[in-house]
Amino acid sequence: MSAGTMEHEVQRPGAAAPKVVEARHLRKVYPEAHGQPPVVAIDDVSFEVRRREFTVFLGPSGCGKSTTLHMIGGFERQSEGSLLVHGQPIRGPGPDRGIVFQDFVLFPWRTVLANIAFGLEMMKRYTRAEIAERAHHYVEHLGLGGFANAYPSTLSGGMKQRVAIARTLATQPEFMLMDEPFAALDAQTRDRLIADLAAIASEQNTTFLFVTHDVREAIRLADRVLVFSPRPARIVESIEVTLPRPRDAYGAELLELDRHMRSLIGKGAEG
Amino acid sequence: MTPTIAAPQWRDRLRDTLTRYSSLLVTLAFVGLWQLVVGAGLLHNPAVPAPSAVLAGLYRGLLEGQHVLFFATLDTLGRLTLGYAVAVLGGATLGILAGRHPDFASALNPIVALWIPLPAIVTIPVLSLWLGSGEAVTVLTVIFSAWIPIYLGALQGTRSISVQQLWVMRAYGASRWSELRKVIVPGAFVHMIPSLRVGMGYAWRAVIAAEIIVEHGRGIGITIFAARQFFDVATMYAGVLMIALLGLALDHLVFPALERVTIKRWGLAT
Repeated sequence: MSAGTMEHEVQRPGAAAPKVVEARHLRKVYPEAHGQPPVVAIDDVSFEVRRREFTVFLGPSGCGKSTTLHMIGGFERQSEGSLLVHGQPIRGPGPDRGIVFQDFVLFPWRTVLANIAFGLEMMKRYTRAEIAERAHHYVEHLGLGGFANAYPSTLSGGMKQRVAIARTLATQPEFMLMDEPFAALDAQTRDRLIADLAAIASEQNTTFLFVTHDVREAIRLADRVLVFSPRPARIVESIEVTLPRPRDAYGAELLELDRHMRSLIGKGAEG
Repeated sequence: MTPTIAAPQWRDRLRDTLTRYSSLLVTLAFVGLWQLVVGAGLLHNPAVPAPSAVLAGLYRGLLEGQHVLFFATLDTLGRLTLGYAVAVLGGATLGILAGRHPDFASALNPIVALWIPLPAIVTIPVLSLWLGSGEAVTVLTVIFSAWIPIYLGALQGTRSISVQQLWVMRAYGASRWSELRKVIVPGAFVHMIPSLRVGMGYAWRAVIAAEIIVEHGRGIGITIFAARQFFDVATMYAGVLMIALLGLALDHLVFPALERVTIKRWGLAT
C-alpha cells in the first residue's frame, strides 16, 4: 500500500452514497466579551456530506469555515440549527473524527513514532505490539522512514505535517477533519503533500473534510467544494468536481472551474 | 617577514588561555591571597582561619572521628529531599489545577500573593509554637518556601498548553487520567525546569536556616551553629563551604542533567 499507486482509479462516491453529515441552518454567534459586541461567525449554513466524498470548505480567511469544521469535530457547539453525523446530533469529540491542524500540534516530548502511536494508545483497544506495528506502518506510508526516532523539533514543517496526518490516519477514523493543513508550508512542500494526500484519500475508507482558502488546493483534492462567503458565513455554492485525476496540470476545464471559484470568493469579498 | 603578525600570536594564545581558565584563576588567586595573608601572620584574628585550616576541618568532619559533618550532611539532605519532594508534588498539583481551572486560580491568588514576599525564616517561630522543635518544623519550612516558585511554574506551564493539543487528545477519546498523564503533565513540565531550579535554591536556604533556629538532631546548619559556640572555627567554615559546594553541585549538576535528558533531547532548549 504505497502512496501514489491508485491515484488514477478513484472510486467516485457519487450522489448515491449515503449522507453521513447533515447541517441544517447552522448559526454560530460568539457572545459579547470584553466590551466587544457579539460576533455572528456563521449565519445560515446548510450542507450535506456523502460517504467517502472528499469535501472541501473553500472561503476567504476568517469566514467561519474552520468554525464549521470544529463543530463537526465536536470541539465547538452551534448556537442554532442542527448538525447531524449519521442522523445523530454531535455530543462532543470522538475517535470517529480525527483532526489535523495548520500548525501540526505534535507532542514535542514524543518521537515521530510515539507521536503516531499516540491516538492508538488513547483508544485502549490495541496491545503494545499492535500499536508499534501500526505506527511503523504509517511511518512508512507517509514517507517518514528513517525519522521514526527523531523528535519533532528536528523536522521541517512538511515532515511535521506528515507526522500529524499519520497520527490521525493510524486510528482509522471515519472522518478526517483537516483545518488548513498546508497553509503554513512553502509551495513545493505543499505541492508534494497535496499529491500524496490525494493518493491516500483515494485508497482510504475515510470521508475527508478539508478547510482551505486556496482555490488550487480545493480543485486538486475535492469531489465537492462548498464555497463559503466572508463572515458571517453562508454557502454561496456547492460545486461537484467530477473532472479526472490527477489534476496537477490545468486543462481548459480546470482553468474554467478555477476562474469560477475565484470569482465566487472575490464577489463575496466585495460584499 | 612581518613581525606585526608574528608578535601578537603568543599574546593571543596567552589571552585565550587566561579567558578559558579565568574563573579558576580568580578563585585560586583569592584563596592563595587569603592563605598568604593569614599564613604570614598579617591577620591575627582567630575568627579567620587559613584556607588550609578550613580544608583540614572539612577533611576531619567528613572522614575522621565521629564523621560529624558527614552525618550532618546526610540528615540535611534527607530533610531537603523530603521537603522538596512534597513541595514539587503539592506545588505542581496546585499549579496544574489552577492552570486548568481559572476559578481555582483566582481563588488561590490572594494566598499566593501574600505568600510570595514571606521569608521562610519567619514561618519558623510560628511553626515551632504549634509543633515544638522537631523535624516537622524544618521540613515544613522547606515546603513552605519551595512550593511557591514551583506552583507558579506549573501554572504558567499548564496555561501554555494549546487548546488544539487538548482537542487532538479528546478526538482520540482520551480519558481524564490519560489526558493528565500524557499531555498536561509533560506539557507543563517542558516549561517548569527553571522554576524547579529556583524552588531547589529556596529549599536549600530554608533547610539551613531552619536547622540553625530549630537546633534539633544533626544537620549542617546545626553543626555550624554548635561549632561557633565551641569556637571551633575550622569546622564552622567547613560547614559553610559544604553548604556552598553542595548547593553548587545541585544547581550545576542535577538540573543540567535533567535538562539533557528532557528538553535538550526534545530540542526545546535554546
